[in-house]
Parts: sequence; structure tokens; C-alpha cells
Amino acid sequence: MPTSYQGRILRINLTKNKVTKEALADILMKQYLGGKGIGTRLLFDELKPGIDPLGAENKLIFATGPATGTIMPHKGYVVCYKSPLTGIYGSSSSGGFFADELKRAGYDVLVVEGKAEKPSYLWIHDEDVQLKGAADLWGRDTFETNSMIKEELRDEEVKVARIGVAGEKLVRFASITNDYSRVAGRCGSGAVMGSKNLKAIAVRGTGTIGVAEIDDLIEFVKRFLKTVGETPATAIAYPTWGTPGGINAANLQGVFPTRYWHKGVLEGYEKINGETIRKRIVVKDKACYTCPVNCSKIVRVKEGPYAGTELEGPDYETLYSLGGLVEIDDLGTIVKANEICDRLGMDTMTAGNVVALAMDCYDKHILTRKDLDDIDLIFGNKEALIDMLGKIGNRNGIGHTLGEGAWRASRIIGKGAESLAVHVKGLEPAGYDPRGMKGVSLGFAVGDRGACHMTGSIYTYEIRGTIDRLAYIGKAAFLKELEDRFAVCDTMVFCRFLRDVTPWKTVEQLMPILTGFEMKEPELRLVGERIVNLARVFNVREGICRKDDCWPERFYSEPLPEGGSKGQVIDKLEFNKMLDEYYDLREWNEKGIPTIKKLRQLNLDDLSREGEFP
Amino acid sequence: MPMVTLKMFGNLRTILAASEHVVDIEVKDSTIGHFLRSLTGQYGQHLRQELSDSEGENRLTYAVLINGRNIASLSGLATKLKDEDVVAILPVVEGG
Repeated sequence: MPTSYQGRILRINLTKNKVTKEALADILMKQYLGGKGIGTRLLFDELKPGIDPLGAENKLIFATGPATGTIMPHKGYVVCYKSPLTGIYGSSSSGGFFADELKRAGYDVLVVEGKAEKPSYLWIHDEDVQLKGAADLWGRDTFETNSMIKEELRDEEVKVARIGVAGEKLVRFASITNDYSRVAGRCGSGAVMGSKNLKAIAVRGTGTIGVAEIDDLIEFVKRFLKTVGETPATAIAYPTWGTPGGINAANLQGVFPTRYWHKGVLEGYEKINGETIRKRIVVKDKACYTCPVNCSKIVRVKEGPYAGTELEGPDYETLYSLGGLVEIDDLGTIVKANEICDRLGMDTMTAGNVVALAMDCYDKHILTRKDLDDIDLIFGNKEALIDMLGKIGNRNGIGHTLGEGAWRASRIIGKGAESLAVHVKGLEPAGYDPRGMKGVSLGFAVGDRGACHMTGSIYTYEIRGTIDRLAYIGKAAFLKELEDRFAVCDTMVFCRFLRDVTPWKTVEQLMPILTGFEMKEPELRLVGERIVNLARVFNVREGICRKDDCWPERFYSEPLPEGGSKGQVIDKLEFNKMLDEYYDLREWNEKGIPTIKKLRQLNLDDLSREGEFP
Repeated sequence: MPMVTLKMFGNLRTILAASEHVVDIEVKDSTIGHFLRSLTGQYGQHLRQELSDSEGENRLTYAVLINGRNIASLSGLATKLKDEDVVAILPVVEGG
């Protein structure tokens, strides 16, 4: 029977310059489906605990999903690795067309291991796989690298995943960019790629991708598109305003992180909200492969010192980090800052956080102007933001320290900076203040890659008002359900913005149509739980337990000063009750470690060999 | 006369031709449901269509906040208004 899986893993060992093509085991497809599931399982199996994330032992595992390359709207790929930012489980996803091209070349999964002797790039043209020299690409930004590789290969249709200078310089939050500007942003995948001397992966696939039931798929997609067109978020909000449409709701509810997490409202938020962006700078709407939503926006700054700057973005998270956190409400500056991050290839979210941390340290006289290479890094200083981002991406001066991420940088700076730094397990949070969103306080605390908004995405339902954002009760169960479902969505690989139209039923109906595998909802729920537990065990064997599922102390004691969450803190007692309930629901012990009983129930018996499990 | 500040976002700004209104309203015993009905009465068919479905209920496309709290987490349309409340009506969309 045809299936949407290609059934193959492409493995490149950069140390040995050796290429192997392996069969994708049936059990991986059936128990982990694709994307985050298969990527996480391979990562767990192939990495020894305690390895250096920037050493040759780390791997980059790019995994596509059953929907990738088909007419079913989807996202692209998930890349899994040990994070150099956090030292624990790392994964990032990205949209665009790169993953579809990889699958058309004949591979579901690409494993990159070892370290090349010199700067190189990987060229995958169907069955032909070569490692090519990248001496002339080293030092180039992500846009230049994309153009130069296309030119060298004389093919505009080649899809290129690449790093910028930040990845080369091992900035711990460097990202991987594919297509024009789709980014696997968080946790430092670009630094892992840089540590391997790998500048880019270029792919051209000319094959086809089958599906089990093509007529059924066509009918399914027609119905799906109709649902997308009738659902408020996907029919109106994302196409019109994109993610910046969320700026109003976050500020009005007082949870828009501002002035490095000391405030929840940016005074000039209406200068950078979705309506203003649409009116002033959007020149074109953009979508990923087969997606009808057009959430992405191509923008061009039309006035001021950065007039003419053009890019894809800025999205909500960038507006929070390079706007709210640094108290800048000038759209032109934020777009320019976004462009600098995109060119250098680094995560805008962590970049904004480390600049804001340095601003806070300067404000509190922990850092002096001399420490900051004579930059007057006060909150709101637009030029200082631009200068500092360049320093970080190039690891120059104070930028070398800030390129370590907030957690490590604060320890290097010392003098009390440690208590200012905002992170969970080394990852700086997404743009929702947990003091005014109690489900977020739990979700970010237990997220598999740190303070991550993607694993549970509970912020969606708190910001919408589906659940009371200030209530603690019921959040643990709500979060668990979301985490399990989104783990499965990340195997498919569905975009999170399709969350309203991809319930369990969608996956249940789609799996046999795409792959020929019958997967009923109870079985899919086990897949979701399996992935959540697998990522947790990966972290447990790196030393993570309950003591790490928490917030910096100031979130328990420093109330938000104004707006819709005025006076809110995280109540430590209530938080710990939520955590206990969450562990109970997950059948983890009081230290947050999955029990043998649970692992057995999920067919993860073999994991128990990896550590001490109760 | 007690007053409520009304903030509007998304397409509502075009319909009402302003981003912020200070609305005079008799607050005593007035609910947000009553307030929204009076608003659609005042601004006519276009606003009614934008805010309500055929049953007259608030459409899921919009969230209604009072002082930063979603009315769904308060008492819904029966939530009482008081002097100096800030009412915001905005499209449901999240960042991330």
C-alpha cells in the first residue's frame, strides 16, 4: 500500500564524510508517527547523557511528519538536539518549504552527526549527497548564504537551511533559517550546526510523495479548508493581523512582559500592534507550503532612520522581546532589530531577553557604561539596542558574555545579576507574564525545553478567556491534555496556529488516509504521552527534577505594578499544589520523575535502564 | 453621570471611526450585556453584525474585557459595570 512515509533516514557523519541511508523502522512510525516523536526517540537513543552540546557527539535530527509534502496543510520539520543554551532536551520547528523538499528527495529524517574538518555545506540532490566546501560562505549572513548557494548550484528551487555568523561564533541561542526567513528559533540549534562546521544544508528533491488514499485525502482537505475558513482565528485574525494581533490582548490583560519583566504593560503598545503594523508596514501576506492561512507578513519600513528595511515579520514574540522587554515602541527600530537577528541567525526572543537583562543590570548599577563598551544601555535606547545585537551576534566585547544566554551571562556578570535573570532551566520565557496567567506559570515551569510556550500552549486559552487566567484550580489537567495533543500535532507536523482545527479527530481521520495506519484517539493519546514522557526522561538523565520546575524567586515576590494583572504574583503554595497535581496526573513521583509503571504503560520499558526510576 | 471608557480594536475601529470612546452610561444595575446591546443600538446594523451571531449572542471572534478581565471569567454578559470601568472589545487572536 502506498504511504506518505518515504521510509528512509539519511545519515551524514561529518567527521568521516560518510553518508548512509537507513530504513525507518516500522515501530518508529507506529509509536512516534514523525516530527517531534521520531526526532526525540532517535535523539534519546543516540546521545549519551552528559555530552557537550557543542561537541562532535551532539546530533541534529531533522524529522518531517506524515503530512509533510502532501496537500494537507502542515508546518515543515522539527529538529531535535541537546541544547547548548539549556544543556537539556532541545527541539525547534520551522515552516516554509525546506522539509517538503527533503521529503521529495526521498527522506523522512536527516541525521547530522560528527564534526566537519573545515567549514562545509551539505548538498542533497535526491540520491546524490555530498559535503562541499564553504570557505567562501563562512562569515556570510543568512540571506547572502541562501543566495550564494542557489547561485553556486545554479538552481533557484534549491531549499537551503543555514546559519549566520551567530551560529559560527557559537552564540548559544543561534538559530537555523530555511527558505527566505523561516526559523527553527529557540534553544540554539544554529550553534550546534556551527559547532559542526556546517554552514548550510541545501536540498533539491524531484521525487514524489505517495499517500494511502489520495481520493479520500482530496475530500478531507476540502472539508478541512472549509473549516479553516469558518474558524475565527484562521479565517480572520491570523490572515489580517498575524500574531501581532495578540499584542492588544496581552497588554490589556497586563501580561505583556515589559522593562525586563518588571511591568506587564508597554505604554505605547498600540504603536506596535497588529492594526498599526497592517496599516503602516505590511506589503504582502505570506504562507507556508499548502497553508491557506497567510499568517506571515512581509513588511517594509517606510520612514525614519531604518526606512527601506524589509523582512518577514516581526511576529508577536519578537515585538515582546525587542519591544516590550527593552521598552521600545518604535516599529522601525523593532523591524531593524529583527533584521539584524535574522541576518546573524539568532533567536529574537532570547536576544531581546539578554539585552534587557543588561539594561536592567545597567539600571541597577550592576553593569557600568565601561562594562558595556561605552554603550548607554538604558531602557528605551533604540540605537543601543541595535548596537548591542550586533555585538552579541559577533560575540564582540560585552556581546561575548550576552551570547551565552541570560542564565549563564548573569552568573558571569555576578553582583546580583543572577537574581534578575529570567529563565526556566536556562530558557528565557515566551512573551506572557506568568504572574497574570497561572496556567502559564505551570506550563512554562514543566516545559520540556524550559520556559517554552509551544509544549502546552496554555497561554492561548488563558489569553482568550476560555479558562480563567487567574485561577490555579484545574490548570494541571487542562495543561496535560494540551501537552499530549500538541505533542501529537508536532509529530504530524502541524502548525500551532492550526490548533483550533486539528483536534484528536483530525489526526485520527488523517493517519489512515496518509499512511495506511489506523490510529484511534486512545492510541494517539498514548503517543502524545509517550513523547512527553520520553522528553522528560531525556531531561531526568541530565539531572532535571522538581527543583528545576520553578520560576526565579522574584516572580513569587515582586507584584506586577499596573494594568489588568496589577498586584499579581505567583503564589508559591498554590503553584506547588498545581505541580503536585500535574505530577499525579502524569503518574510521575513527587520529584517529577516518571514511574516505571507509567513507562511500561507507554511501551517505554527500555528507558528505565537509563537511570534511577521509582 | 458615571462613565465607562470603551476601547475597540480590529474592524470595530473602522465601524465606529475611533479607537477610544468615553461613553456616558447609567451604571447602576447595568450589565455588560446591556451595555453591548445599547452600543449596537447606538451604532446600528454594522456593529450588530460584527459583534453578534443570528441568535444575538456575542460572536466568538471577539473578546470582551472589563479592566483587563475577560467577562467569560467573570459573570459573562451578566457582569455588572461600575463607574470608571474600562471595557475593551477586541478580536480573539494570540501571538506565539
